[in-house]
Amino acid sequence: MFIIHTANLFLDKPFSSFSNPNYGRERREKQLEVLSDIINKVLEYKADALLIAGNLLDSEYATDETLHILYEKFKSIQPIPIIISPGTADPIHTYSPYYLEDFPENVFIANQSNWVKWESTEIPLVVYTSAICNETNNPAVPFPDLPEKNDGRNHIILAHQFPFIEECQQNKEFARLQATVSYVALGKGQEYMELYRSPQYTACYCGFPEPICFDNKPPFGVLGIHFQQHDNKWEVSKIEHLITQKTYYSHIELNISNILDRDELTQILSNEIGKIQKPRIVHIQFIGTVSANVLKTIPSAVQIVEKECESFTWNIEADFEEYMDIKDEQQFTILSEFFKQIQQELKYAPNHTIYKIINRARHLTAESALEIKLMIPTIETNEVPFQWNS
Amino acid sequence: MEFIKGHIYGYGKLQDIPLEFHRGFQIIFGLNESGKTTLFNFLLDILFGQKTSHKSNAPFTENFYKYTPWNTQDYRGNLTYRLDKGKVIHLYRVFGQKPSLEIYEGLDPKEITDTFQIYPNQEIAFIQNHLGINREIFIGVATISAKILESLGSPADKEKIREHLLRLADVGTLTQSIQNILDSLERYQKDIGTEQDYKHPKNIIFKQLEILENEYEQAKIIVENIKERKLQLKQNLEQLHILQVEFQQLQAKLQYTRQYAMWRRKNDARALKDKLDKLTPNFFSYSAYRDFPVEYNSRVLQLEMTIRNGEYQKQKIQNEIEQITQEKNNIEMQLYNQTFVLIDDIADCQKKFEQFMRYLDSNNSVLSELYGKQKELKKQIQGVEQIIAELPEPIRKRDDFYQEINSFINLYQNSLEETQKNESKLNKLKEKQDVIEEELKPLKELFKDITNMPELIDDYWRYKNRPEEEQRELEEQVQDLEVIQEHILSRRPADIILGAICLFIDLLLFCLFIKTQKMESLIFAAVVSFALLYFVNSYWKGKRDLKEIANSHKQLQEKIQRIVSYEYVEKHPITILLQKAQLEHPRELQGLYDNYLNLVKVLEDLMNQIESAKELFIINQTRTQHLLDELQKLFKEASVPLESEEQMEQNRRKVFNLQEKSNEYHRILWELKNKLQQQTKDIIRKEEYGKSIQTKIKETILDNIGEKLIQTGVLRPNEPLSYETFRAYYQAEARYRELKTKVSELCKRRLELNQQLINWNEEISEAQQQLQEILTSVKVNDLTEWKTQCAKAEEAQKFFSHLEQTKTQLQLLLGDDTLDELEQNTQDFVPTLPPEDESTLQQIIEQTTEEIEQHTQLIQTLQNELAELNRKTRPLNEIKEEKDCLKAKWKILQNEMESILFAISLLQQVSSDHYQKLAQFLKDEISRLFSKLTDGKYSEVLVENDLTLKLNISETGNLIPLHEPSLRQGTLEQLYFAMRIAFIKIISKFGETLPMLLDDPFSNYDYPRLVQTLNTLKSLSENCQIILFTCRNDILELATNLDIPVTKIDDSKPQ
Repeated sequence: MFIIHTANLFLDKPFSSFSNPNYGRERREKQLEVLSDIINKVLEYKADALLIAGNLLDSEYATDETLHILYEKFKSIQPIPIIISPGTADPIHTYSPYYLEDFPENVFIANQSNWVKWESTEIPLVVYTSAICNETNNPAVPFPDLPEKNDGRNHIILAHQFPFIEECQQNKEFARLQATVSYVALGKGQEYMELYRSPQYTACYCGFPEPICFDNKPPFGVLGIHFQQHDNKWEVSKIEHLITQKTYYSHIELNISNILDRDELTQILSNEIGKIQKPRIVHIQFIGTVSANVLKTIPSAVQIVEKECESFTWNIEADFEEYMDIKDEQQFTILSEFFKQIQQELKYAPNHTIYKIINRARHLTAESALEIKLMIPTIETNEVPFQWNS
Repeated sequence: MEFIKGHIYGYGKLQDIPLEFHRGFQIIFGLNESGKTTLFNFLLDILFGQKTSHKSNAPFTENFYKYTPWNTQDYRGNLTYRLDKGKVIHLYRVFGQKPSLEIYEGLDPKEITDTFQIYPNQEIAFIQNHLGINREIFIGVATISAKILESLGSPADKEKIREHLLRLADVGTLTQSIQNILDSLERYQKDIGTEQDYKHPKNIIFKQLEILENEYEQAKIIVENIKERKLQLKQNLEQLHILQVEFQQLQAKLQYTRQYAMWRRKNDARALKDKLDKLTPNFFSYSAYRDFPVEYNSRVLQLEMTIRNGEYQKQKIQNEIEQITQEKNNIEMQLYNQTFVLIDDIADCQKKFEQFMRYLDSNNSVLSELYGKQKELKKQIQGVEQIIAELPEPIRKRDDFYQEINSFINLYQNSLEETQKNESKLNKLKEKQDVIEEELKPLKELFKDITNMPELIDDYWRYKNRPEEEQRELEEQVQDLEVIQEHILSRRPADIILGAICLFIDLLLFCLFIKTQKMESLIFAAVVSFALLYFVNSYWKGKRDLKEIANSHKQLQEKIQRIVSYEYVEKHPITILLQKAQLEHPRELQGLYDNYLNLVKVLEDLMNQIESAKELFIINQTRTQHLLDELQKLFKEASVPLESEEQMEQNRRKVFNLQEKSNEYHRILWELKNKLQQQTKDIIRKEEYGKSIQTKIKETILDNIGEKLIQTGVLRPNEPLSYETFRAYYQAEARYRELKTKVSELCKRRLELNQQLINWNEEISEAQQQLQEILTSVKVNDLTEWKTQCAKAEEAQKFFSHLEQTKTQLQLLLGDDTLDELEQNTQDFVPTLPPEDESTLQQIIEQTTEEIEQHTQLIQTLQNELAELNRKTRPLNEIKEEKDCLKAKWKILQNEMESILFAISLLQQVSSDHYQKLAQFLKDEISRLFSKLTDGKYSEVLVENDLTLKLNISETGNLIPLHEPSLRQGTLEQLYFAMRIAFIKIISKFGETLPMLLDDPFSNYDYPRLVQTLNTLKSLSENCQIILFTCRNDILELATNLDIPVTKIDDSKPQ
């Protein structure tokens, strides 16, 4: 038996970018491509079922168009069953699309926070699932009502998150589960992770089929779970990670201390960006100690390379050689005293936002002192939880 | 730090040139293009190297290329300098593509190169250890060029000293300042703008964000609506489905009910058919009575009743007609016996009479009221006349008596008040006079003989303070008098001799005239006579003058004597006065005398015032008495004698009251009399009116109907008409009319009854005729036979009717079907459940169909609404993306603003603190240097916390700002150099005292200014090494004069 386990597609989620106005639309189209890819994989691998452990949609923003595509895609793999456990981004409530919209007959959606049982009539498969309802996921009982003995059917638990999952007690809790279950399919983790493995069963976070933000960790794809039957009992024989990633993120810290002119900077930038697979979303942070001459060339240099990225943003964290790199000199001028004091302020900044403000003040003063025209800085893509936006 | 020596092996055009530096001020001279600037740059390059930065791949500076040796490959040099603490450092630097540096220390040189850190660009970081500053700051602080000094003295650039000071303190160079940085930050802040600005990033984003927020909120509402609609749609679809199922169930039920009904019909039809078969045998027995007109039976019975009723009514009417005829005859007899005469216009007459009577009544009531009022008025008039007669005569007769008396009182009071005022003023003036006289008495005694006090005091002072001078003056006067006396005495004999000669000549000429009688002799004699007179006069004048001189001499001698013996001062009137007044100083005496004069003057004024006040008082007093007499006379006339002045006000009030009373009663009397006159007129008019009404009654009514009324017996002859007459007449008329009416009514009734009788006769005959016709038509003889046959016919009719009904029922039940067909159709039907009502079912089905239609319509509406709502808005995620992007931009701008404000505030704080610290030190140092430079002309240079400089002038102690026009350019220049040296001293606190390199800054100076500047620098060079690079020959000459060491350089060899 072969089952595909996925989650966290976040269809119709908004994505903002400072530099690319079409970025959100492109990203949503990509997410739909990923869905197609998953459906193709179901057909390609002749999967017996597709399990979706939450966050298939960002239901607050779900559009009719997407729901129609979803309907068509799911219908196209009939009669392969698709079991959906709604997650935190698409919880079950009165106005949930899972409730309001029609889905093909092969789709089963958990519609309550208590455990519900789905049984296949075609194959020996039983799935116990629950849904996040109104953003709560507390089933009345921690475990589904599993059979006492093996009955020759494959018993799987599907949930966005397990109520007892707390890292310190997770193994202990997993150990309490009935041995009749073969696999626990979960969706909430930031990355693919085998949470628990025992001779009886395996519990996995499937991760993200496509990165949503910089917090998500590779590999990006879906899990293909192979099951085998031994003595009337089904067990996971192999877990295969199937790649579905469409976009490549990168957050580069580029030391430009040794850069002398714009051409060199452009060349280095092109090289760095070239290392990232297309399509790419890049944020460059310039660090090191830089002279005013080089600093002035940064905006024009990034203009050349930003066209090669889906979304490109940058910021300067570098020190300016002329004023901010003052450690060797006696501080008798007001400006050197200012930089000395600002260094102290940075050291004792209460939080990162204030740190950034102070650091920016330092940069603005240095730029003014160097008679560089002051410019409003660029920002990262909105989905990147960079501290600047915190 | 000071440079000691060096050697240029190859640097630009300079080749193999040894360098020797002196302590203090020195000049390095070279002609134009001889290499001064090259040497200047050599010193900088050997200290700081030729790399643009400390980075490993840092390129060479411009100097590297510019000063590559022209004639040698030996691109290197060395320099020896001494640090403040006495350490001697030797630098051996090789320039070029592979630069190197060796550093040695001490007089016995020991290499210390390895002791220093090495920068990534391979430069040894020794200079940071020794000086603690970079090349830019060294240039800023330790060099002065011509450009810096050129506009120092111009009025517009006087603030340059402060500006340079600020810039050095701010950034250590003259190219940038904190103020510039602050300006730049503020400009940037303005560029970002605020929410209220127009077309600035912040305002634009704020507006866009607002729009998007609204759009997002609306879109959210629409999405909520869409969800709501979807939910409704879903619910409706479900309901529709339920209804459709229900509809199908109802259809099945209807089918069953219909089958059941057919089955029932079949059974009913069968029963009817059986019944019909039973009725058929009785058909022929009833067929004989089938055509009997049973329907006439009721008509026959009705006609019979009509005939009977007609006979009864006829009898009743005939009896009534007889009674009416009897009664009519009786009433006609009563009418014949009455004497009533009918008056046709009695009603009009009565109306006129009543109207006349109303007029008469109202006139009489008004008249009686008027009589009463007239009587009352007469009584009132008598009372008022009595009161008026009791009032005093002048008041009674004159209505302005009070006004006259009042004006007299006012005049009297004013006059009295004025008199009292004058009296009090006079008294006050007298009191004042007494006081002044009392005060003046001792002073008068004191100054009684003094006429000119100032002269006396001057005189007193003269002799008191400067007796010697006075004595000397007097003696000089005596001497002058003696000289004059001598002159007069010396002239006297000449006058006598010349006079005698003139007399002699005159006598001779007279004699000659007498002899010759020539006029010429006489003329000459006259001329000589004049001369004689002159001499005589001169003699006598001299004699008189001598006498006066003798007197004056005597007086002067006395004065001198008095001065010598101090008698003059002791007996001086001022001394006496001082003694008398017990004063010490003549100034006090002068004050006292002034006071005396003042008092005298005041007293004179006072006397004048008293005199005029007295005159005024007498005039007023006389006038007041006269007015009082007049008043007493008037009050007496008014019977309120004025016994004392206190009574005056009381009397005035009395007179006023009396006058008021008199006026009031006169007015009342006049009004009452007017009223009485009016009323009398009214009474006469009313009396005449009453009479005219009586006449009219007689003419219009009594003459017309009086006779008839007498005949009727309701009025006696000569009796006036009254309401009673009319009432009696009407009663008589009513009785007469009643009888007449009754007669006519009885006649009318009798006629009606006769008509009724005729009608009844007609009706009875008609009924009898109809009855006969019916009986004849069915060949029946009488009514009894009719009734028997009719009963049988009704029975037959019922039978046939029942038969027909059964046939019809069967026909209806079967319809188009036949009984056989029905039996065949319901052959298989087995009723299981009781059937439901088909119409109810039909109704329910219709309702369900309606509901289905409603739901279908609702679903259609919802679908349309959904489509419409979907069209109305963009997807929520797209709006959110834009919104988030703008929010992020907004956040950036907010943070940017905070950063700017932070930078500005910190810069201001740091600069404020730093300036404050710097100010004190600069003040001490610049003051010391500048005071020395100006030979103490300026004692101090005040440096304020904002580094504003002010000069303290030693002589006046005044502080003057730098923009003071009186400050000369030379002074400012001295101050500038003092400031720069002071600044170098400040830096020395952090590291070394830098040498000052002057790159030919005096190229435009004139000679005197140059002398002064060189002197200044020489003075300042005690504090630090100053090296002046110049190409001016005059400086060279001056240097020799001022004993300033000079080093000459040229293209080839140094001197």
